[in-house]
Amino acid sequence: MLDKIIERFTAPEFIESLLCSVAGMAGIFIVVGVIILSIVLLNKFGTMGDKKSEE
Amino acid sequence: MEILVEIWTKILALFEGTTSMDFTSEVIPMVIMWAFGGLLIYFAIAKDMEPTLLLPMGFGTILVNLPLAELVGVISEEGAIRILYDAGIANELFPLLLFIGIGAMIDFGPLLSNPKLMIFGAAAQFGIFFTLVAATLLGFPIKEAASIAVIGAADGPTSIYVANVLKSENIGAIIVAAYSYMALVPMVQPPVIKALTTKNERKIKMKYEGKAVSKRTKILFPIFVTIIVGLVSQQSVALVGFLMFGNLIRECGVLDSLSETAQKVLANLVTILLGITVATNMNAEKFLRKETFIILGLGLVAFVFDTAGGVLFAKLLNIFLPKDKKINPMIGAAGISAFPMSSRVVHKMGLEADNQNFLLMHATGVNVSGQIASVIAGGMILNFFG
Repeated sequence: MLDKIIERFTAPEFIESLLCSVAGMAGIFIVVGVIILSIVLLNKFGTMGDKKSEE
Repeated sequence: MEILVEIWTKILALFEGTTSMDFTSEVIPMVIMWAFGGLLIYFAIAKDMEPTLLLPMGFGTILVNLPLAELVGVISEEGAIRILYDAGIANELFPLLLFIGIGAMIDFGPLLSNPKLMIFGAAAQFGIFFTLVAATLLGFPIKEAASIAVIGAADGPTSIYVANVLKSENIGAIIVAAYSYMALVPMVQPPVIKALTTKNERKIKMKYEGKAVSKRTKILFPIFVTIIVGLVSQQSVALVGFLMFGNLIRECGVLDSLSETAQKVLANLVTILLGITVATNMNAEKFLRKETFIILGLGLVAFVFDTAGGVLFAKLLNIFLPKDKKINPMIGAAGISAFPMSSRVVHKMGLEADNQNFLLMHATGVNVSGQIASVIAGGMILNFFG
Protein backbone atom coordinates (compact mmCIF):
# COMPACT_ATOMS: atom_id res chain seq x y z
CA MET A 1 0.00 0.00 0.00
CA LEU A 2 2.73 2.41 1.09
CA ASP A 3 4.74 1.44 -2.00
CA LYS A 4 1.80 2.36 -4.18
CA ILE A 5 1.43 5.75 -2.50
CA ILE A 6 5.15 6.48 -2.86
CA GLU A 7 4.96 5.37 -6.49
CA ARG A 8 2.11 7.81 -7.15
CA PHE A 9 4.01 10.68 -5.51
CA THR A 10 7.18 10.00 -7.48
CA ALA A 11 5.47 9.37 -10.82
CA PRO A 12 6.63 11.74 -13.60
CA GLU A 13 2.99 12.72 -14.29
CA PHE A 14 2.53 13.86 -10.69
CA ILE A 15 5.73 15.90 -10.74
CA GLU A 16 4.75 17.39 -14.11
CA SER A 17 1.33 18.36 -12.79
CA LEU A 18 2.88 19.88 -9.67
CA LEU A 19 5.36 21.96 -11.68
CA CYS A 20 2.66 23.02 -14.14
CA SER A 21 0.45 24.07 -11.24
CA VAL A 22 3.15 26.27 -9.74
CA ALA A 23 3.97 27.72 -13.16
CA GLY A 24 0.26 28.16 -13.92
CA MET A 25 -0.46 30.11 -10.74
CA ALA A 26 2.66 32.23 -11.30
CA GLY A 27 1.59 32.79 -14.92
CA ILE A 28 -1.89 33.94 -13.91
CA PHE A 29 -0.49 36.38 -11.37
CA ILE A 30 1.89 37.79 -13.99
CA VAL A 31 -0.85 38.24 -16.63
CA VAL A 32 -3.24 39.71 -14.06
CA GLY A 33 -0.46 42.00 -12.80
CA VAL A 34 0.10 43.33 -16.32
CA ILE A 35 -3.65 43.83 -16.76
CA ILE A 36 -3.87 45.71 -13.43
CA LEU A 37 -0.99 47.93 -14.55
CA SER A 38 -2.68 48.61 -17.86
CA ILE A 39 -5.95 49.51 -16.08
CA VAL A 40 -4.10 51.94 -13.82
CA LEU A 41 -2.53 53.54 -16.88
CA LEU A 42 -5.85 53.57 -18.72
CA ASN A 43 -7.51 55.25 -15.75
CA LYS A 44 -4.72 57.80 -15.64
CA PHE A 45 -4.72 58.64 -19.31
CA GLY A 46 -8.30 57.73 -20.12
CA THR A 47 -9.61 61.08 -18.91
CA MET A 48 -6.69 63.22 -20.12
CA GLY A 49 -8.34 64.63 -23.23
CA ASP A 50 -11.59 65.21 -21.36
CA LYS A 51 -9.83 67.34 -18.72
CA LYS A 52 -8.10 69.40 -21.39
CA SER A 53 -11.33 70.03 -23.23
CA GLU A 54 -13.05 70.93 -19.95
CA GLU A 55 -10.25 73.40 -19.19
CA MET B 1 -56.94 -13.19 -40.62
CA GLU B 2 -53.81 -12.85 -42.71
CA ILE B 3 -54.10 -9.11 -42.49
CA LEU B 4 -54.27 -9.30 -38.70
CA VAL B 5 -51.16 -11.49 -38.58
CA GLU B 6 -49.39 -9.04 -40.87
CA ILE B 7 -50.35 -6.09 -38.67
CA TRP B 8 -49.25 -7.98 -35.55
CA THR B 9 -45.91 -8.82 -37.20
CA LYS B 10 -45.42 -5.15 -38.06
CA ILE B 11 -46.26 -4.10 -34.49
CA LEU B 12 -43.72 -6.60 -33.16
CA ALA B 13 -41.16 -5.32 -35.65
CA LEU B 14 -41.61 -1.82 -34.18
CA PHE B 15 -40.35 -3.09 -30.84
CA GLU B 16 -37.70 -5.38 -32.30
CA GLY B 17 -34.84 -3.15 -31.25
CA THR B 18 -36.21 -2.87 -27.73
CA THR B 19 -37.07 -6.51 -27.17
CA SER B 20 -33.65 -7.67 -28.32
CA MET B 21 -31.94 -5.53 -25.64
CA ASP B 22 -30.05 -7.22 -22.85
CA PHE B 23 -31.68 -6.35 -19.52
CA THR B 24 -28.66 -5.86 -17.28
CA SER B 25 -26.14 -4.40 -19.70
CA GLU B 26 -28.49 -2.25 -21.77
CA VAL B 27 -31.94 -1.73 -20.22
CA ILE B 28 -30.85 -0.87 -16.65
CA PRO B 29 -28.17 1.67 -17.71
CA MET B 30 -30.68 3.20 -20.13
CA VAL B 31 -33.30 3.60 -17.40
CA ILE B 32 -30.69 5.04 -14.99
CA MET B 33 -29.77 7.64 -17.60
CA TRP B 34 -33.45 8.52 -18.14
CA ALA B 35 -33.74 8.99 -14.38
CA PHE B 36 -30.59 11.13 -14.42
CA GLY B 37 -31.97 13.21 -17.30
CA GLY B 38 -35.19 13.57 -15.32
CA LEU B 39 -33.20 14.65 -12.26
CA LEU B 40 -31.44 17.37 -14.27
CA ILE B 41 -34.81 18.59 -15.56
CA TYR B 42 -36.17 18.53 -11.98
CA PHE B 43 -33.22 20.56 -10.64
CA ALA B 44 -33.60 23.03 -13.51
CA ILE B 45 -37.33 23.57 -12.98
CA ALA B 46 -37.97 22.96 -9.28
CA LYS B 47 -34.69 24.23 -7.84
CA ASP B 48 -33.91 26.84 -10.53
CA MET B 49 -30.37 25.45 -10.84
CA GLU B 50 -28.79 26.78 -14.08
CA PRO B 51 -32.07 25.99 -15.90
CA THR B 52 -30.89 27.37 -19.24
CA LEU B 53 -28.35 24.60 -19.52
CA LEU B 54 -29.49 21.80 -17.22
CA LEU B 55 -32.94 21.55 -18.80
CA PRO B 56 -31.74 21.05 -22.40
CA MET B 57 -29.02 18.73 -21.08
CA GLY B 58 -31.55 16.69 -19.12
CA PHE B 59 -33.81 16.31 -22.12
CA GLY B 60 -30.84 15.55 -24.36
CA THR B 61 -29.72 12.85 -21.91
CA ILE B 62 -33.08 11.10 -22.27
CA LEU B 63 -32.97 11.56 -26.05
CA VAL B 64 -29.54 10.02 -26.58
CA ASN B 65 -30.33 7.10 -24.31
CA LEU B 66 -33.39 5.92 -26.19
CA PRO B 67 -33.13 2.41 -27.62
CA LEU B 68 -31.20 2.46 -30.87
CA ALA B 69 -30.63 6.23 -30.63
CA GLU B 70 -27.59 5.69 -32.79
CA LEU B 71 -29.53 4.00 -35.55
CA VAL B 72 -32.60 6.25 -35.57
CA GLY B 73 -30.57 9.30 -36.43
CA VAL B 74 -30.14 11.01 -33.08
CA ILE B 75 -26.45 10.47 -32.49
CA SER B 76 -25.45 8.57 -35.64
CA GLU B 77 -23.00 10.21 -38.04
CA GLU B 78 -25.89 11.75 -40.00
CA GLY B 79 -28.07 12.37 -36.93
CA ALA B 80 -29.17 15.89 -36.04
CA ILE B 81 -27.40 16.01 -32.69
CA ARG B 82 -24.16 14.62 -34.11
CA ILE B 83 -24.25 17.23 -36.89
CA LEU B 84 -24.78 19.99 -34.30
CA TYR B 85 -21.99 18.49 -32.17
CA ASP B 86 -19.54 18.49 -35.06
CA ALA B 87 -20.58 21.99 -36.12
CA GLY B 88 -20.51 23.62 -32.70
CA ILE B 89 -18.67 21.66 -30.04
CA ALA B 90 -16.08 19.50 -31.78
CA ASN B 91 -14.63 22.71 -33.27
CA GLU B 92 -15.20 24.75 -30.05
CA LEU B 93 -17.49 27.23 -31.82
CA PHE B 94 -20.46 27.24 -29.39
CA PRO B 95 -18.48 28.04 -26.21
CA LEU B 96 -16.74 30.89 -28.03
CA LEU B 97 -20.01 32.32 -29.36
CA LEU B 98 -21.42 32.10 -25.86
CA PHE B 99 -18.47 34.16 -24.66
CA ILE B 100 -19.55 37.04 -26.93
CA GLY B 101 -22.88 37.04 -25.10
CA ILE B 102 -21.22 36.80 -21.66
CA GLY B 103 -18.81 39.63 -22.54
CA ALA B 104 -21.76 41.79 -23.57
CA MET B 105 -23.48 41.06 -20.24
CA ILE B 106 -20.58 42.03 -17.96
CA ASP B 107 -20.00 45.51 -16.66
CA PHE B 108 -16.32 45.76 -15.78
CA GLY B 109 -16.92 49.16 -14.12
CA PRO B 110 -16.42 47.98 -10.50
CA LEU B 111 -13.13 46.36 -11.53
CA LEU B 112 -11.92 49.37 -13.53
CA SER B 113 -12.61 51.72 -10.63
CA ASN B 114 -10.59 49.50 -8.25
CA PRO B 115 -8.18 47.41 -10.36
CA LYS B 116 -6.27 46.03 -7.35
CA LEU B 117 -9.23 43.72 -6.74
CA MET B 118 -8.21 41.73 -9.75
CA ILE B 119 -5.44 40.05 -7.78
CA PHE B 120 -8.12 38.06 -5.91
CA GLY B 121 -9.48 36.81 -9.21
CA ALA B 122 -6.03 35.30 -9.81
CA ALA B 123 -5.74 33.82 -6.30
CA ALA B 124 -9.13 32.14 -6.56
CA GLN B 125 -7.94 30.00 -9.46
CA PHE B 126 -5.92 27.96 -6.97
CA GLY B 127 -8.57 25.22 -6.98
CA ILE B 128 -7.89 24.50 -10.65
CA PHE B 129 -4.25 23.71 -10.04
CA PHE B 130 -4.86 21.89 -6.76
CA THR B 131 -7.38 19.67 -8.55
CA LEU B 132 -4.91 19.08 -11.38
CA VAL B 133 -2.46 17.63 -8.88
CA ALA B 134 -5.18 15.70 -7.02
CA ALA B 135 -6.59 14.18 -10.23
CA THR B 136 -3.10 13.10 -11.30
CA LEU B 137 -2.60 11.49 -7.90
CA LEU B 138 -5.86 9.60 -8.35
CA GLY B 139 -4.43 8.09 -11.50
CA PHE B 140 -6.02 10.13 -14.29
CA PRO B 141 -3.80 10.67 -17.35
CA ILE B 142 -2.42 14.19 -17.24
CA LYS B 143 -4.58 15.62 -20.08
CA GLU B 144 -7.67 14.11 -18.50
CA ALA B 145 -6.63 15.54 -15.11
CA ALA B 146 -6.19 18.97 -16.72
CA SER B 147 -9.67 18.80 -18.28
CA ILE B 148 -11.18 17.86 -14.91
CA ALA B 149 -9.25 20.61 -13.13
CA VAL B 150 -10.86 23.29 -15.29
CA ILE B 151 -14.18 22.58 -13.55
CA GLY B 152 -12.58 24.91 -10.99
CA ALA B 153 -12.77 27.73 -13.51
CA ALA B 154 -16.43 27.86 -12.39
CA ASP B 155 -17.21 28.78 -15.95
CA GLY B 156 -19.15 26.36 -18.14
CA PRO B 157 -17.97 27.51 -21.59
CA THR B 158 -14.30 27.45 -20.47
CA SER B 159 -14.71 23.91 -19.13
CA ILE B 160 -16.35 22.76 -22.36
CA TYR B 161 -13.71 24.50 -24.49
CA VAL B 162 -10.70 23.13 -22.62
CA ALA B 163 -12.10 19.59 -22.21
CA ASN B 164 -12.85 19.53 -25.90
CA VAL B 165 -9.44 20.81 -27.01
CA LEU B 166 -7.79 18.23 -24.73
CA LYS B 167 -10.11 15.57 -26.20
CA SER B 168 -11.39 14.47 -22.81
CA GLU B 169 -13.30 11.20 -22.64
CA ASN B 170 -15.25 12.49 -19.65
CA ILE B 171 -16.62 15.69 -21.15
CA GLY B 172 -20.20 14.83 -20.11
CA ALA B 173 -19.30 14.43 -16.45
CA ILE B 174 -17.10 17.55 -16.55
CA ILE B 175 -19.93 19.69 -17.91
CA VAL B 176 -22.46 18.34 -15.43
CA ALA B 177 -20.03 19.00 -12.56
CA ALA B 178 -19.14 22.50 -13.79
CA TYR B 179 -22.73 23.69 -14.15
CA SER B 180 -24.05 21.89 -11.07
CA TYR B 181 -21.45 23.35 -8.72
CA MET B 182 -21.89 26.81 -10.27
CA ALA B 183 -25.54 26.56 -9.30
CA LEU B 184 -24.53 25.24 -5.86
CA VAL B 185 -22.17 28.15 -5.07
CA PRO B 186 -24.56 29.51 -2.38
CA MET B 187 -24.27 26.14 -0.61
CA VAL B 188 -20.60 25.32 -1.29
CA GLN B 189 -18.93 28.64 -0.45
CA PRO B 190 -20.37 29.76 2.94
CA PRO B 191 -19.10 26.77 5.00
CA VAL B 192 -15.61 27.12 3.49
CA ILE B 193 -15.54 30.88 4.13
CA LYS B 194 -16.79 30.41 7.69
CA ALA B 195 -14.20 27.72 8.38
CA LEU B 196 -11.38 29.99 7.25
CA THR B 197 -12.42 33.32 8.78
CA THR B 198 -13.23 34.61 12.24
CA LYS B 199 -16.38 36.62 12.93
CA ASN B 200 -14.24 39.72 13.45
CA GLU B 201 -12.68 39.25 10.03
CA ARG B 202 -16.12 38.88 8.46
CA LYS B 203 -17.11 42.16 10.11
CA ILE B 204 -14.29 44.15 8.46
CA LYS B 205 -15.82 47.08 6.61
CA MET B 206 -14.24 48.29 3.40
CA LYS B 207 -14.64 51.82 2.11
CA TYR B 208 -16.00 51.96 -1.39
CA GLU B 209 -14.39 54.72 -3.38
CA GLY B 210 -16.61 54.65 -6.43
CA LYS B 211 -14.28 56.43 -8.80
CA ALA B 212 -15.90 57.37 -12.09
CA VAL B 213 -14.54 55.42 -15.04
CA SER B 214 -14.35 57.26 -18.35
CA LYS B 215 -16.05 55.86 -21.40
CA ARG B 216 -12.69 55.84 -23.18
CA THR B 217 -11.23 53.57 -20.48
CA LYS B 218 -14.18 51.22 -20.77
CA ILE B 219 -13.69 51.03 -24.55
CA LEU B 220 -9.91 50.63 -24.40
CA PHE B 221 -10.02 48.00 -21.63
CA PRO B 222 -11.26 45.05 -23.75
CA ILE B 223 -8.81 45.94 -26.52
CA PHE B 224 -5.85 46.17 -24.13
CA VAL B 225 -6.73 42.93 -22.35
CA THR B 226 -6.97 41.09 -25.68
CA ILE B 227 -3.57 42.42 -26.76
CA ILE B 228 -1.92 41.62 -23.40
CA VAL B 229 -3.33 38.10 -23.28
CA GLY B 230 -2.47 37.62 -26.96
CA LEU B 231 1.14 38.49 -26.20
CA VAL B 232 1.53 36.64 -22.90
CA SER B 233 -0.79 33.64 -23.07
CA GLN B 234 -1.56 32.78 -26.68
CA GLN B 235 -3.77 29.79 -25.90
CA SER B 236 -6.17 32.02 -23.97
CA VAL B 237 -6.61 34.43 -26.83
CA ALA B 238 -9.66 32.80 -28.43
CA LEU B 239 -11.52 32.70 -25.11
CA VAL B 240 -10.46 36.15 -23.93
CA GLY B 241 -10.80 37.63 -27.43
CA PHE B 242 -14.45 36.58 -27.81
CA LEU B 243 -15.25 37.65 -24.23
CA MET B 244 -13.68 41.05 -24.80
CA PHE B 245 -15.27 41.44 -28.23
CA GLY B 246 -18.67 41.04 -26.57
CA ASN B 247 -17.68 43.61 -23.96
CA LEU B 248 -16.47 46.06 -26.61
CA ILE B 249 -19.84 45.80 -28.37
CA ARG B 250 -21.46 46.67 -25.02
CA GLU B 251 -19.21 49.58 -24.13
CA CYS B 252 -18.68 51.26 -27.50
CA GLY B 253 -22.05 52.97 -27.25
CA VAL B 254 -22.88 52.80 -30.96
CA LEU B 255 -23.92 49.15 -31.17
CA ASP B 256 -26.70 48.99 -28.63
CA SER B 257 -28.85 46.74 -30.75
CA LEU B 258 -25.95 44.32 -31.39
CA SER B 259 -25.13 44.37 -27.68
CA GLU B 260 -28.71 43.54 -26.80
CA THR B 261 -28.78 40.77 -29.41
CA ALA B 262 -25.53 39.29 -28.07
CA GLN B 263 -26.77 39.42 -24.46
CA LYS B 264 -30.16 37.90 -25.16
CA VAL B 265 -30.74 36.29 -28.55
CA LEU B 266 -27.22 35.01 -29.26
CA ALA B 267 -26.58 33.80 -25.71
CA ASN B 268 -29.98 32.10 -25.49
CA LEU B 269 -29.74 30.50 -28.93
CA VAL B 270 -26.26 29.12 -28.34
CA THR B 271 -27.23 27.91 -24.86
CA ILE B 272 -30.17 25.94 -26.26
CA LEU B 273 -28.00 24.28 -28.91
CA LEU B 274 -25.09 23.79 -26.50
CA GLY B 275 -27.26 22.17 -23.85
CA ILE B 276 -28.89 19.62 -26.07
CA THR B 277 -25.70 18.96 -28.02
CA VAL B 278 -23.39 18.30 -25.08
CA ALA B 279 -25.84 15.57 -24.12
CA THR B 280 -24.27 13.54 -26.94
CA ASN B 281 -21.64 12.64 -24.36
CA MET B 282 -24.22 11.57 -21.82
CA ASN B 283 -25.01 8.14 -23.14
CA ALA B 284 -24.94 5.37 -20.55
CA GLU B 285 -21.81 3.74 -21.91
CA LYS B 286 -19.74 6.92 -21.54
CA PHE B 287 -21.37 8.28 -18.39
CA LEU B 288 -22.09 5.39 -16.04
CA ARG B 289 -18.52 4.78 -14.97
CA LYS B 290 -16.58 5.00 -11.74
CA GLU B 291 -14.67 7.97 -13.19
CA THR B 292 -17.85 10.05 -13.40
CA PHE B 293 -18.33 9.92 -9.63
CA ILE B 294 -14.66 10.70 -9.01
CA ILE B 295 -14.94 13.68 -11.37
CA LEU B 296 -18.01 14.97 -9.53
CA GLY B 297 -16.01 14.72 -6.29
CA LEU B 298 -13.00 16.47 -7.81
CA GLY B 299 -15.27 19.24 -9.09
CA LEU B 300 -16.33 19.93 -5.51
CA VAL B 301 -12.67 19.89 -4.43
CA ALA B 302 -11.91 22.47 -7.14
CA PHE B 303 -14.67 24.82 -5.97
CA VAL B 304 -13.68 24.44 -2.30
CA PHE B 305 -10.01 25.19 -2.99
CA ASP B 306 -10.87 28.10 -5.30
CA THR B 307 -12.78 29.64 -2.43
CA ALA B 308 -10.03 28.81 0.06
CA GLY B 309 -7.35 30.24 -2.27
CA GLY B 310 -9.13 33.60 -2.52
CA VAL B 311 -9.89 33.88 1.20
CA LEU B 312 -6.42 32.83 2.36
CA PHE B 313 -4.73 35.20 -0.11
CA ALA B 314 -6.76 38.09 1.30
CA LYS B 315 -5.77 37.04 4.82
CA LEU B 316 -2.13 36.95 3.74
CA LEU B 317 -2.37 40.48 2.34
CA ASN B 318 -3.97 41.67 5.59
CA ILE B 319 -0.77 40.79 7.45
CA PHE B 320 1.03 43.53 5.52
CA LEU B 321 -1.78 46.09 5.39
CA PRO B 322 -2.26 48.89 7.95
CA LYS B 323 -5.21 48.49 10.35
CA ASP B 324 -7.48 50.98 8.58
CA LYS B 325 -6.87 49.42 5.14
CA LYS B 326 -7.60 45.80 6.02
CA ILE B 327 -9.49 43.76 3.46
CA ASN B 328 -12.50 41.68 4.36
CA PRO B 329 -11.10 38.23 3.46
CA MET B 330 -14.51 37.06 2.29
CA ILE B 331 -14.21 39.11 -0.90
CA GLY B 332 -11.37 36.79 -1.96
CA ALA B 333 -13.95 34.03 -2.29
CA ALA B 334 -15.78 36.04 -4.96
CA GLY B 335 -12.76 35.54 -7.21
CA ILE B 336 -14.28 32.38 -8.63
CA SER B 337 -15.96 33.11 -11.86
CA ALA B 338 -19.50 32.07 -10.93
CA PHE B 339 -21.07 35.45 -11.66
CA PRO B 340 -23.04 36.99 -9.95
CA MET B 341 -23.84 34.26 -7.39
CA SER B 342 -20.47 34.40 -5.68
CA SER B 343 -20.54 38.18 -5.08
CA ARG B 344 -24.09 37.89 -3.73
CA VAL B 345 -23.00 35.14 -1.31
CA VAL B 346 -20.15 37.30 0.02
CA HIS B 347 -22.38 40.36 0.32
CA LYS B 348 -25.00 38.35 2.23
CA MET B 349 -22.39 36.92 4.58
CA GLY B 350 -21.03 40.42 5.22
CA LEU B 351 -24.50 41.59 6.22
CA GLU B 352 -24.96 38.53 8.45
CA ALA B 353 -21.76 39.42 10.33
CA ASP B 354 -22.70 43.10 10.62
CA ASN B 355 -25.88 44.56 9.19
CA GLN B 356 -24.01 47.69 8.10
CA ASN B 357 -21.29 45.83 6.22
CA PHE B 358 -21.94 46.35 2.50
CA LEU B 359 -19.47 44.39 0.41
CA LEU B 360 -21.41 44.06 -2.83
CA MET B 361 -19.40 46.50 -4.97
CA HIS B 362 -16.04 45.09 -3.84
CA ALA B 363 -17.26 41.53 -4.28
CA THR B 364 -18.65 42.34 -7.74
CA GLY B 365 -15.28 43.80 -8.78
CA VAL B 366 -13.54 40.63 -7.62
CA ASN B 367 -16.18 38.46 -9.23
CA VAL B 368 -15.79 40.00 -12.71
CA SER B 369 -12.00 39.73 -12.26
CA GLY B 370 -12.55 36.03 -11.67
CA GLN B 371 -14.33 35.86 -15.01
CA ILE B 372 -11.19 37.09 -16.79
CA ALA B 373 -8.75 35.17 -14.57
CA SER B 374 -10.61 31.87 -15.05
CA VAL B 375 -10.39 32.25 -18.81
CA ILE B 376 -6.67 33.00 -18.52
CA ALA B 377 -6.30 29.92 -16.27
CA GLY B 378 -8.05 27.82 -18.92
CA GLY B 379 -5.57 29.19 -21.45
CA MET B 380 -2.66 28.37 -19.14
CA ILE B 381 -3.85 24.77 -18.92
CA LEU B 382 -3.99 24.68 -22.73
CA ASN B 383 -0.51 26.23 -22.92
CA PHE B 384 0.82 23.33 -20.88
CA PHE B 385 -1.21 20.41 -22.18
CA GLY B 386 -2.90 21.49 -25.43
